[in-house]
Amino acid sequence: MSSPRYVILTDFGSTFTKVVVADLSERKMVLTDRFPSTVSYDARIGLEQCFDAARKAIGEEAFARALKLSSSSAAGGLRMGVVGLSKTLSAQAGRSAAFGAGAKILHTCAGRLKVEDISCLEELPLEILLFCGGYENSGTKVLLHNAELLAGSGLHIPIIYAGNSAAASEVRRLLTQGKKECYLARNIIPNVGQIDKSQVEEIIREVFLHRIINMKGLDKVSGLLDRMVMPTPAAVLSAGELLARGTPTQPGFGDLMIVDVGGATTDIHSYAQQMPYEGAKVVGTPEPYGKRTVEGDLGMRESSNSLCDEIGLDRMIRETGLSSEEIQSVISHWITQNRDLAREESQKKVDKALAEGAVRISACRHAGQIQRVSSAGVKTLQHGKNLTSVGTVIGTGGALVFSGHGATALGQVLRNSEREPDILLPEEADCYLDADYVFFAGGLLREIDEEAAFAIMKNSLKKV
Amino acid sequence: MREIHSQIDKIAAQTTIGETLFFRHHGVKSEAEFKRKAMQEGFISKHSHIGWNSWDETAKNVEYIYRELERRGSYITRMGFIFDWVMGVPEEYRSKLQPGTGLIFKTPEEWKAIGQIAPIQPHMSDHMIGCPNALENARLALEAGVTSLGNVSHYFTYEYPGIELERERTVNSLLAFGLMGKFDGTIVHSNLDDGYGNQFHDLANLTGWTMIERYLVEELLGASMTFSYGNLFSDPISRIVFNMVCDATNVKNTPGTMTFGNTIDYGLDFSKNYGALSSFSLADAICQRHKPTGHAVASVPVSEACRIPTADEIIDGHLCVDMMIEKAALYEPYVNWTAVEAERDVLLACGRVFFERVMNGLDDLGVDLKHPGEIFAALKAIGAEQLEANFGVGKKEKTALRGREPVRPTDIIKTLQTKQKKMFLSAGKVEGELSGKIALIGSTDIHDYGKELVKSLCNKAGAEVFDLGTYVTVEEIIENLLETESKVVIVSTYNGIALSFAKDLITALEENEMTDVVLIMGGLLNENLDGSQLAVDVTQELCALGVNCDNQMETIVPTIKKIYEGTYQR
Repeated sequence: MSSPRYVILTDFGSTFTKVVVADLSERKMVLTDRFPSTVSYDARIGLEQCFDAARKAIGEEAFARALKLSSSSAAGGLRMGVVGLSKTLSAQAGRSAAFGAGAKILHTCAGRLKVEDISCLEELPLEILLFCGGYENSGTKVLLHNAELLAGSGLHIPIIYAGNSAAASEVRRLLTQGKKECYLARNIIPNVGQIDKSQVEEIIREVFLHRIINMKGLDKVSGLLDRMVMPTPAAVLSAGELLARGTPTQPGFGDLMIVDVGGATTDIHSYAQQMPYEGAKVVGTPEPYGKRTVEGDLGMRESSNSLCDEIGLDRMIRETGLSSEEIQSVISHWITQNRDLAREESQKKVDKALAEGAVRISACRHAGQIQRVSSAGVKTLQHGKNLTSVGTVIGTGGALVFSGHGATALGQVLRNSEREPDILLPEEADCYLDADYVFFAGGLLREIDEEAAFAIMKNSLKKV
Repeated sequence: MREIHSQIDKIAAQTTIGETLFFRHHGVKSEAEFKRKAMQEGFISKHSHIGWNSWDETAKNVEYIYRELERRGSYITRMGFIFDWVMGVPEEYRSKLQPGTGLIFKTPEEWKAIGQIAPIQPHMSDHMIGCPNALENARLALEAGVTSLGNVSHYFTYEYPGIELERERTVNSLLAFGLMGKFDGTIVHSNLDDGYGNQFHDLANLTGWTMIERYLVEELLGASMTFSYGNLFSDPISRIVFNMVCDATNVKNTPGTMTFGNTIDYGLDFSKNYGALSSFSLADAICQRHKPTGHAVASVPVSEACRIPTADEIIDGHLCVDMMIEKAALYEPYVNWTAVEAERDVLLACGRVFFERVMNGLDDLGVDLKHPGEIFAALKAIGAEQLEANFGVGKKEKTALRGREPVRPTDIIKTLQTKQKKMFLSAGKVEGELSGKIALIGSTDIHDYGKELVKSLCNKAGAEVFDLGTYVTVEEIIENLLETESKVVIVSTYNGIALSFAKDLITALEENEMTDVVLIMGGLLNENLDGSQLAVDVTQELCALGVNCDNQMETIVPTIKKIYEGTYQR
């Protein structure tokens, strides 16, 4: 059988079920559409609406032959916790792996766990816990202590151990005895300055796709699809990498960042090789080429309260020209009515300030920073990733694409080198919006045909 | 790369090679043309490096040196001019750097004047190409008639703190190398000692490295290149062997620029320095007599280790070298060339392995092996140490420095190996003494030989050693203690911060409830106290803080053992 001409790419989100139909022979998008999400009661309804739209676009016969792939971020996406030993090494490496696998992290613990840490983890709606720490052949006492506490905890979620292999069998024994579902992965930080997160990322995705997704009401759609490929954020991460690197026939954009402002979270992706800034000593866990972070307290709707706090009410008042009461009233509305779009002038003003704040703060948290020191043999330390070389910033997500203020919001990624000399963000960059909202599709399609995936995403970009 | 190549063509079309007094005097169009004739005629070129910081003084001295050498029956063929580091960056960035003591040119006229002082061919290598301003420097130098330009090696090691122009450095260096490739007779020069050459432990890997630089500059960018070395080659025979190694891969028959003097052996005693000058210049002259490669013999004034030499001291050096060049003809027939060639072949065979391993490694990383920019950037990001540790040809050996037994150690490593042998002897039988024990190690500055020696001893004793590298910080140590549960931190220090570093670390250990961790410090335990200009010994103060300051290799293993057994007394 010849390979299909069309690929139907769907995404189960919390708000919409989206569809993109790609024509591989023409390397172009035939259809993009979205329908209100039905995942909370029957995911099949939303999917059938997407499929009907696809049938209309390419015809019944082509539809039947088309490959059908999907991603999902519905029902809160993939929620993880991370337990490591040190904040800047194993815990940071664990966070990097969890983000890379498409998760959002609800809590991170470092060091010798205390009962309070366990209580905190138990109270959260976690779906997977990543447990790591220690170089190969280093000490195991704290790891085993942590394993005992986790084994005795009320957590009933898969625990992935990716720490010092000297403790692996004992950790697995303890967790299994504690009736925990335990997976072992290669040590995420095998030695000083090394990171190995590919296997643990793979396991996280596997557990998500085969265990967790069914609990999110998506088991009913699996028969209608060829494959559920990956969590949506992992698809977007992969799409961004393709845009940055390019394909054998299409040059990439080079170092870039993707900003996705959502209702509950803001995701930042960056693609750049880690380089020391102005000869600084780079400390902490090695930074991956493709890095993703998720800010769970910075979002336009569910998290608008904490986002407003982070921005500061004074600044919100200054930027919107509204009174404190007017701002609070809009925010209160957003928290309860998180599907609503801004209609009134005051809502639009608040949305603009929130979007700009979400981008600014998330980008600063994502990027590395320079610390000036005097006592050590070095003058500057670099914590985190140097993104000063980034030349392209792309906005995706409804808050940026459909709001009309995407350009000013994306501009917040850029640093002012005089005011913020120590934040490693670019000073200048070309800004684009993912106008057709196709990045999830680009990531999925990359698995099949990266030339088509690149061309479709590139066509979707509108310079702002 | 297509864009780079088309830019090279455009710039080349607008560039003409200037004519120096040297070219006019010898009736040639490039230094390479002169060298080729000289090699046929058995004439050995001579070189000096000069570093006066004002143009007037430079011009006056260059002319004086030329005339005086001529008057005394001697000669000088070429001169290396030391440029200020600000020349390495474009004009608009220069205000960000504190100017040093080298020459700074601002106009094309100033560039052109350098070849018009006397019939001595100028050579430019510091902060020329391999830096962010590479293209402009190359163009102006060629227009001034300077046809030998460096340094490829500087791309990897010369930095301009506070100026972030890595992309420009890569692009402009490619353009500069490519531009030179468009003109016959130009020579891209790489002084290995200034680059990764002084970081590799094994001459076999250094040989492979020359193959990598040559691949980039000659095969991918179409230029002709040569290697310079010598600062770190104390053994006269190894100088000859290495020259023959570089010559073996010189398929374009590009004449060499010069061999640098051996400055490891230079000290404050001028009489001894004359011995060192005679030793290396005799070896270099013998090498040129046997198989001329065009490398000029360098005269290093005996005063160089303690001051900027005077013009007369430079002249004295040349007169000494003249004698060596004359007598070299008598030595040359009696050198065991079969043994020298055998050594050359060992290095070449092993160097090819290193080259292949590095290229395969880059390929695995997804680096485009036909794209010189990608390769340059990747090699710089990886660094010499990792290249040697991961792709080196020496046998893997846990107790060896950098984890591999060098096939042919560099002279510095030979000295270090001798120290290591002595240290192993004085430490006695340590095998197994630290089995299952963990140690963290790092140095507070760039000096890592002390750290490497201690590490090799701890490895020999069976310890699991986690090496935090150079310029280690307090925060890194704490975070790594959390990961490893080590009870021992060994810090080597030479930069006069021993006490303040120890205080910071001990405070951090207390804050993190790690007071059972013992800090062992060695090296130069001194610091400037109370604003004084001179660093004073702080051993007593360190001991009072509970730091182990035995500063003796032989006590390290028993000390660590005691710490883990709980019998160590602070």
